[in-house]
Amino acid sequence: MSPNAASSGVTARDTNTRRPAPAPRRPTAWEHVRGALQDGRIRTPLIYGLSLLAVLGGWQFAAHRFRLLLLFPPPSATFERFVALLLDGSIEKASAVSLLRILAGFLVGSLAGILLGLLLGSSRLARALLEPYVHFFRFVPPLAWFAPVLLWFGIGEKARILLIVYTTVFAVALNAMAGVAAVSRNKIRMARAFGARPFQVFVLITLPASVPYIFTGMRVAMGNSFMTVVAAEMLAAGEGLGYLVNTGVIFLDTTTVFSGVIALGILGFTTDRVFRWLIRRFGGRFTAGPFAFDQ
Amino acid sequence: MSAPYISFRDVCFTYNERAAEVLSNLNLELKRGEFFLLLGPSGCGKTTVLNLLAGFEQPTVGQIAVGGTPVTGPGPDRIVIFQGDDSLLGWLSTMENVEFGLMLAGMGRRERRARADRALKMVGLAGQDGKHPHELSGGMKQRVQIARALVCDADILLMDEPFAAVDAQTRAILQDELARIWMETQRTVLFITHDIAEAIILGDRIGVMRAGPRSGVKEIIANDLPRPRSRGDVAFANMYARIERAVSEEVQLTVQRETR
Amino acid sequence: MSGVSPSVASSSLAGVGGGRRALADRQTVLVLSLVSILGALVLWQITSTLVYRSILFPSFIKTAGALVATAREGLLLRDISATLSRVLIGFLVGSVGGVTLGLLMGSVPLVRTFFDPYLNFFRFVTPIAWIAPATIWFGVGETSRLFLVVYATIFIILVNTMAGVTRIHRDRVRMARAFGARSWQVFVYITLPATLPFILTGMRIGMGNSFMTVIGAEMLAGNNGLGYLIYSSRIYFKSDVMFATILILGILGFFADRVFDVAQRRFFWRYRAGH
Repeated sequence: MSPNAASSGVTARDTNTRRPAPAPRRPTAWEHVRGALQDGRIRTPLIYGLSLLAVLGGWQFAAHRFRLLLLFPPPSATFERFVALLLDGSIEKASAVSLLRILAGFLVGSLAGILLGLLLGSSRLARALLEPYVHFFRFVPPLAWFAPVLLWFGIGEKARILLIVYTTVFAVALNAMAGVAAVSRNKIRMARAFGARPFQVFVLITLPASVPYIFTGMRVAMGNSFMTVVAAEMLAAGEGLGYLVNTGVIFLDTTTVFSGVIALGILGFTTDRVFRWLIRRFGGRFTAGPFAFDQ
Repeated sequence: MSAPYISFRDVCFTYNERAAEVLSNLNLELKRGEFFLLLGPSGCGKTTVLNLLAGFEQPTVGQIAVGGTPVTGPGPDRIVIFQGDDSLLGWLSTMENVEFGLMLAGMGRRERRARADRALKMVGLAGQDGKHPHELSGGMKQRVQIARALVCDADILLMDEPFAAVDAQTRAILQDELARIWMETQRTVLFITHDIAEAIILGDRIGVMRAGPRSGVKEIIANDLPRPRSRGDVAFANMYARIERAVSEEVQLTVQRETR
Repeated sequence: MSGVSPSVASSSLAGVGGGRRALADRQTVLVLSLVSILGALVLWQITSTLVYRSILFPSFIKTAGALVATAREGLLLRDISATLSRVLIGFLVGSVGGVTLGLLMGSVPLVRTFFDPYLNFFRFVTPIAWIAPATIWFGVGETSRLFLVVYATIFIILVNTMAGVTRIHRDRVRMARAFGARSWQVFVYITLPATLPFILTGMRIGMGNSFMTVIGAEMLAGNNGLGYLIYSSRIYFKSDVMFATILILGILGFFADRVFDVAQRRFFWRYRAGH
């Protein structure tokens, strides 16, 4: 051993001067599979697939095995019915009717909610005068108003749309109010230092800064609106998805009921995604950093 | 003897009846065109001094005047550069943020754009005008604030620990750049910090505040080091030691009071 | 009931100095609110007397009268307890289920991925829609109604709990492990406390959903309860009973939410998100 090697603690055997490094082995098929399983992009859809297979398969099996074809029709029957309803246009028509109701009420309610929320958030006077009502009426479920509204406006579109307006206004107003309160003080101070008048502060600072909160409120309101519309349609007929589901109940046609439920799920999911996209796209720029609200 | 440009006369400040007085009989005078540093331990009220001059708060007793006129509220002659980035408007681009004050003042688009371009160039952000604040680093965001202040030709710049949230290397770079910009523009600056080295790099005069509550200015040390200043040389070290003596007493007091 | 995001800040105006005015401000606010409420009540009374057919729009006095009358008949108490018991039972079951599943799904990625598709589908189906299948399966009885309430509560609590688990600071877990904590200890001492604020928020929103769903269920397929009371009053045009019930609903909902608010602030303040 050379003196240098001794002092550094390295023996001749460690330094790989004589034998060349072994060539890398080709991975076996099993190692390929294992690698793929670790990769999230493959793993997630795989588990989704397995999950759906297991549940749908189990459902199909159980429905036939336990002869629950009426009470709990198997996926095959449900799917068949769904397609049938799709083909004859019932689902599309029902969905369109329900959605339009929601949209009409939703747009009006959102506008009113935004104005109300921004007003309440900015003006102490308005808050003192109006806050008791907001905090009372927000706890009265919209459906409770259905009966009085029917009494006043009869069984018509107006009644249903009004209910949606009510549902939307409070969710949006409360979130808009929170948005105003959350505007950082330094933004307002900055604007005032540059000579902005209160109106300018409101339009140029408060309003844009509240946008992500307003979107969040609209997202919540959308969910609540679905609930209200479906219940209203079940109670007082009129061609929406709720009505469709109801007809299923009357004729004990569970496949129709399931089809309606599925359609509702799809609609709800899609509208929620739309809002989430809106929040992500426009929410990010409205704060100086990433805007992470809920999922 | 000319009247001071900015003056604090017997200023007292307290937030409400129940809290202790933050500032007690504070007297301070700033000359026009000087770079004044306010140093002190945490809780000594230095941010309050800035807020009073900015007009965000009103003194309980006493008066603050600029050029003889008392300060009654915020105004475009005293622009503030805040700590952190939450005064930047995330929905506007860098250029639009810098132009914001000018837009409020009613300036035309072409002139605004020209001025903003110049300011961005001066702070070294020439190519970033299209980006949004959340795409910028901490140091870059502070430069945007500086550009925004420069663009308005305000006589007085108020800076509240602007580089505190930035990493040390970026901080040193920003300090040197700020010193350079100030030499070119010669505004009156009130700069708050707790970093002694920063004070020496930037300030003509350094005011050391007493430990709070009921704080005031303990002593003012003149900084005659020739610009541009470098952190390594002996004169810097001597000045550092001198200021440190004054400050550390107050820091000790603050720690004592906090742990009582 | 409208859900608000977890970080709703209390209202404060920016840039206004002088906290010494706070006390006077609070009194002013109180006075203004009282004046506003009184004014509204008077307005209500006047409008209802002026509006043609006050059967449609009962005055405040008539509403109060109906309230007292129904209360005296003992019907009100019966209906209130029916509604409340449904809300509470459904809420409890939904909470237990939601928290358990949420913790499970949040902690074990495999479970989460497995159930994700169903979660993301079923949570968007409005609970009311399930009254139909529930009626077919369980008949028109208490079970169907409770099924709905559980459904309405479980998903929102699940989602919020899951969010809480996935948001735990990695450094906290690392810290615990560095001190030698085993998996169950990490769960009990780190995961659970950190998830608590999210669970509470989910429960608060879930409570709101419960109320909404119970009323709907009672209107659609019930024979007692406040929802049933409102809807059945319609047939007899008893709008004063309607209004009285709505008043009660508002008060009940307000206090239910208050419970959570107080709980969050007084007992669980140390578990606030971010601490």
